[in-house]
Amino acid sequence: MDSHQTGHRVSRRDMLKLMGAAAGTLAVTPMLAACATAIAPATSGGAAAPAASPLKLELWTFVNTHARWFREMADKYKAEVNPNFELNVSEIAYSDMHDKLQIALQSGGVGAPDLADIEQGRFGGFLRGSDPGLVDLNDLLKQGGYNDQLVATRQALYSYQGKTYGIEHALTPVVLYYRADVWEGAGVDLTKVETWDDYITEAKKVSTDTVKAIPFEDHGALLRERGSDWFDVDGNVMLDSDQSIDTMNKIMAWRDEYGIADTQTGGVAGGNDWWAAVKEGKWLSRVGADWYAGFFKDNVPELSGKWKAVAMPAWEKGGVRTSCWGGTGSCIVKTSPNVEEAWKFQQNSMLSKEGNVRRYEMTNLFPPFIPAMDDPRLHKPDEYFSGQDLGGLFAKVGPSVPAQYQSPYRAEMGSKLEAAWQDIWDGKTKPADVFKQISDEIRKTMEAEKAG
Amino acid sequence: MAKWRRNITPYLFISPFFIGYAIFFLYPVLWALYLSFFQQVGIGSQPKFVGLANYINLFSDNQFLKALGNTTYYAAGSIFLIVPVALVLALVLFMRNLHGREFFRLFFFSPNITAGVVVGIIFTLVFSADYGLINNYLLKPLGLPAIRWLQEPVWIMPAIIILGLWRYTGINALYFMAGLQNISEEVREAAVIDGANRWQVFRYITLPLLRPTLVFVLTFAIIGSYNLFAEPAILVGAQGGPNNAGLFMTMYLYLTGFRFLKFGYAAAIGYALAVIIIVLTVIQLRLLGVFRED
Repeated sequence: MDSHQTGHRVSRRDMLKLMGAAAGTLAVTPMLAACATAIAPATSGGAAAPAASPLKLELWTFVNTHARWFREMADKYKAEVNPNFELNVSEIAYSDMHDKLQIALQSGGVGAPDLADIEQGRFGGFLRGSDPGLVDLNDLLKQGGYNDQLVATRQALYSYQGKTYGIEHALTPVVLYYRADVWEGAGVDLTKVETWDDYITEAKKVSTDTVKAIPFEDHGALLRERGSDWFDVDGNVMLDSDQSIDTMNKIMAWRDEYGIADTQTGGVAGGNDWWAAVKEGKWLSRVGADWYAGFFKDNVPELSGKWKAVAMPAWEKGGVRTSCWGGTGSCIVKTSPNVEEAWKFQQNSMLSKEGNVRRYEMTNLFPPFIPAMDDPRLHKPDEYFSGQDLGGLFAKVGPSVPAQYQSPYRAEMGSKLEAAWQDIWDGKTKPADVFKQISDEIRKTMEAEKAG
Repeated sequence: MAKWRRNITPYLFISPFFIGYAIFFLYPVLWALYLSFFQQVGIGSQPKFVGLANYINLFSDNQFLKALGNTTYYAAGSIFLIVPVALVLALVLFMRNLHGREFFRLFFFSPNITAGVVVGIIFTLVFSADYGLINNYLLKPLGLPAIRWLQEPVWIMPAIIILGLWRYTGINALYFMAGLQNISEEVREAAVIDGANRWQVFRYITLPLLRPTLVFVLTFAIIGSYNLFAEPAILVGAQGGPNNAGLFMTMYLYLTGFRFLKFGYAAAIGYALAVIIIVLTVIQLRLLGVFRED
């Protein structure tokens, strides 16, 4: 190579120039394309393309039980409604799925599915821009008469500025799970307990130095039980409200004044440690939603027959005795060429009595769909919980499940709080100070983005 | 024409790499630079030019500064603990009459071929306060109190460095062993004949001759430290655990970009990270005299 004449060298330089130009063009072309999509996010494409047969729809979910249920629903839909219908259900890990979906929607729907499950904790993030890229279901729900059939407070999670982007899978009624053998052994009847104050009195009877009645529970869930939340209906930050601070102070008092509680074994993220301690009998009750029942069965199957559930104690006599915790919405992507078909499929699955009953049977999620709530299949005795009718308990507290309001800033606040809990629990920081600081930071971000 | 064709052929052969490079590397890198001068938040939002505001905001962003501090803490641990330990390990494994050398090499190298996520999950069990390996099988028998590794902010970085020690000592030792193999035995023998003791041989013969390897190892230690993501993110959660004590810069970038959808700001964090790595690497190369004429 090196022994060739100089002409060769010149041509090599030319080549490099050419390649540089080519690389430059390559780099710039998609940049312009991306620029265009960023500036004008796909707003059309929602209009359904002429139905080509067979219709192939793609659905993303991060929960394997949901995937199984969707597949069954798709088979049913295919058999009963549209023989050309085909649904490919992709099961993708939680973070991955939400990250990928956000990127796909951000780039104008490139590679996005037709339908997607979005978890409520991540949903706020989708609302951060001017258009989440999801179909507004408001009119469709109204026309179908579904608004009276769905628990309205649950739909609030996927509603923002007058638009509704999803249908909730689960009612997520929160109850108090407790070690019936221990509490009853100590002569306590938790079904008679009405308020947290009553609960504290009784909990003292079962708590010792190493065994505690309850861990520090989720501040958000307990705050929602009181009718408030981290954000209000208009999206204002409520984390530093008096009620919010008082709720956290009362949770701390469980340990500091009454000695009935402590930090959850393993801390915020201590899943394995927590269940190991539960297995050892170190914890005697726990606030949890309907889905938490499944966690007991999966993690401590050996405690079958020892746990039961009651309605949550209220903050004052006659007050609300439940809360909401978690949830996942089923959404239709705006750029999908099959929006109409996707909606029909949702009607057949998410918005049908049969679909909701089957979902409870397959996923243990109590439906937020009122016509399904009385179905006898939802009220079978649960062996793990000593033959208790858990569905009956969920249905009883269901109508008073409080609202959780969505905010584009919820994910960011949640992330800040997650880093703050341990120090609060350890008594290193005061709830009032921490809540104030985080609230101010979020308000500052909101302000900056509003101005921007 | 024929000449033109002959000249172009080799470039066509190597072009697949450059095309891939341009699409998957050059373009995103340039796009991110462009994006870093804009404020763009959320899906379907319009980018708004803000000049250097994103970069200026970094200086007053407590979480960014915290992440910078944490990452630098880890990098220091990597340079002053992991690399020296790796060097000592290499010297031990290099000893002439060591039995089971192959076994030890594999033993120390294997953590490196384990996926970062798996390592993160396993170490949550190692560092568990109540049921963990270290507290129950290491500290307890010694009569030491249990440490809440992943709950006490002050212990989180040491925990991550211990993880790094386990994971990266082996591979670094391997580099050092390759370097040691390149040092001629004669040079050392000559020194011994001249009356040098073992320490002197190491200090004045082995170490200076290992300099190229040391430069390589340190450079990669710095880059690797500032790019560390999977292990801490799994071990303490993406927001870095209590008080963000384990928040690395890459994790903050991820949170900003993918959780909070502040694309422009995330791009600025990415560029800040790149600049920091370049500056530190250049300083390090200078200190080790790479630019010095020998």
